[in-house]
Amino acid sequence: MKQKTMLKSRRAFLKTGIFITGAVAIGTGLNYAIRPDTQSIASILTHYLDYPDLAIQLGSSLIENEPGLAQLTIEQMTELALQDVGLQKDQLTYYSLLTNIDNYRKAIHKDFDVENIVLVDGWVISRTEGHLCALLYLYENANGRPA
Amino acid sequence: MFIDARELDQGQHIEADICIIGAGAAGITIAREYIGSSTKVVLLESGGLDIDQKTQSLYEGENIGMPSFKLVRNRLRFFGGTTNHWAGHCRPLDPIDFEKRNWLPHSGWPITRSDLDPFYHRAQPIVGLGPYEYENLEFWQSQINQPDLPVNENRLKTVVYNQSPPTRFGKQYRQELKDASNIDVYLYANVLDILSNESATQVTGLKVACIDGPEFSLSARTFVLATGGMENARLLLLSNSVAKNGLGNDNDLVGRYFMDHLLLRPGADISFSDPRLNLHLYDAVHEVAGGRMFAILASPEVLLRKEKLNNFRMHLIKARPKTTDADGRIFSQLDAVPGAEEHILDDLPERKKNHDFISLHLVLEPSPDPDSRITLSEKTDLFGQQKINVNWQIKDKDLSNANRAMELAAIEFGRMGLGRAYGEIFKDSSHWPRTMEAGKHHCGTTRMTDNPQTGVADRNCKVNNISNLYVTGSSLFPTIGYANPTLTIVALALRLSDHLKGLPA
Repeated sequence: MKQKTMLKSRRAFLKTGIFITGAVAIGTGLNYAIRPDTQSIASILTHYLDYPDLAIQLGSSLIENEPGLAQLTIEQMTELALQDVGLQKDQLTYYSLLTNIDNYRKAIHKDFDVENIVLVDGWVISRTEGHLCALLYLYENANGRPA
Repeated sequence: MFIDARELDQGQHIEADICIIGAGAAGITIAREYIGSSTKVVLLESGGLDIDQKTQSLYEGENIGMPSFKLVRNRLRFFGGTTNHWAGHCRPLDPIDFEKRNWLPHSGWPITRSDLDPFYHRAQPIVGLGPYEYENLEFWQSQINQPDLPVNENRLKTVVYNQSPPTRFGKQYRQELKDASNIDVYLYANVLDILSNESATQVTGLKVACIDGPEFSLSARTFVLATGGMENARLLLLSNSVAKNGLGNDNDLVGRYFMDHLLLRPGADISFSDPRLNLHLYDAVHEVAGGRMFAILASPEVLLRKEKLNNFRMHLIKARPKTTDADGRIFSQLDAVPGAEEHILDDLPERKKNHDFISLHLVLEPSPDPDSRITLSEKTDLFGQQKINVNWQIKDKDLSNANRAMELAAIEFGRMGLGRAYGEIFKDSSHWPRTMEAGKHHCGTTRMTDNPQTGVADRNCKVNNISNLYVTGSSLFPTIGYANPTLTIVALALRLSDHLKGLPA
């Protein structure tokens, strides 16, 4: 199976799992009780990206070329990505994460509006998008799937 | 009447009231203005009614600057001139293009857009265009019902462009010139020398020849040089039997300030977040209201003033191969495209086939530079006349302008949630991308100014210090904006013909 297809299948599986977990949490009223760990947060945030291969490549290049990102752990990168939409890790629930995409949309729109952009590998993307790509790269590495 | 100059007698002398040298868009336009009048007009054309290689070879020269362009292929030397292969894109220059911009050295026309407006209106039908509605996008949208992009108008604006059929001046206006009793068009007539009095303050005649003979002479009350952005300068420089530096060249300005539009084709590709994005207003020519139009993205005046940029435009082009296989639809969910997750990943071939990306073609105004110049070469043509060297020096500022223009477009497509930009220029901002080329719009070499110390011609297109020699065409342009030059060339020719008609007989 091609790597791209494998990535797609795995991500589809993960997405379904996260959705079910979230739905259960919300349905049982535990949404404010269950706090996701870093891996889960990173997994959910990076599912906002639709094309993992290129996103991983961009994330890798960003980490390589931006001094501020080069030394960050996946935990720190996750926190940075959350800060982009004004969230803090210790305040998160699955519910808030799963309903968070609109905040990222607004943050990205604002990034472009104020020209908070990064140029990476010939692409022009918002700073927030760059952070998500970098997080995806670290997440894939942390899970033994180097890009 | 059309006359084959090869059939004239050796040494024959021709007399006219007005002699126009060059039968391209400008020369033909001026000649037509005299149809039915009592003024005897001679229009001299180097070529015939169709292209022939011997005549075309007279355009040979050497390009010693950058970027590379073909001097012989860019221009056409037969009746109708370069309109015989022009693309037909038309728009007036913007008002700001005429201004002296403090961030753009050597900018500033001696006339304003308002001065030229009436002539733009008159030029519109001559070039084969419909309603003169360049500033009224709604006029066109109300008829074609296509949306424009919701761009931030501090960064970009949607602008109306007109599309000529394109009008081939040589074919379109041949018959009426042929029928005009007061106009003689001489084909195969090459002007070798513009002769002047001893003080080089008045043109007394022309030395003219055909490639295989004969040689003949011509005298007139008024002479108009209309041979194009390079040849206007060349002919003045070659006419050095009295004025050793060439006619009108007392201040060593003839041939200087050569420039052309800087093109990036493409400057960037935009991968759509949503392949259903409707860009029909921009990527198709719409035939409506008796005209043809399409839209482009261009720089708003407020941006140019704020960021001290040169003017620029971008075409949105769909039907061409993508420059990269990389798919930029990473951010479809984040751009809130409905159903984005259903059509990701493996459909790239299908997407390429469907052209759900666009290429942005940048057209950038160059910075005028006296060191960019046309000079005479040591090499000679079939007549033994010196060929030209073209040394176009592109400024660093032009590259930074190109970078910023493409970045602004990338930002706007991201901000609108429509797609993301990919381009070579975003990888390395210190070098021109390989897609850089010249626009084949040769301008500036006999620039018009109000000060003879800074220009070759005055506001009435008269060559400085010569009482009866006028120059017209794109060589007059002190700056060139982003618009294709033909409409402005025709407007200036109309303005000049009005001026000449107002002169005492």
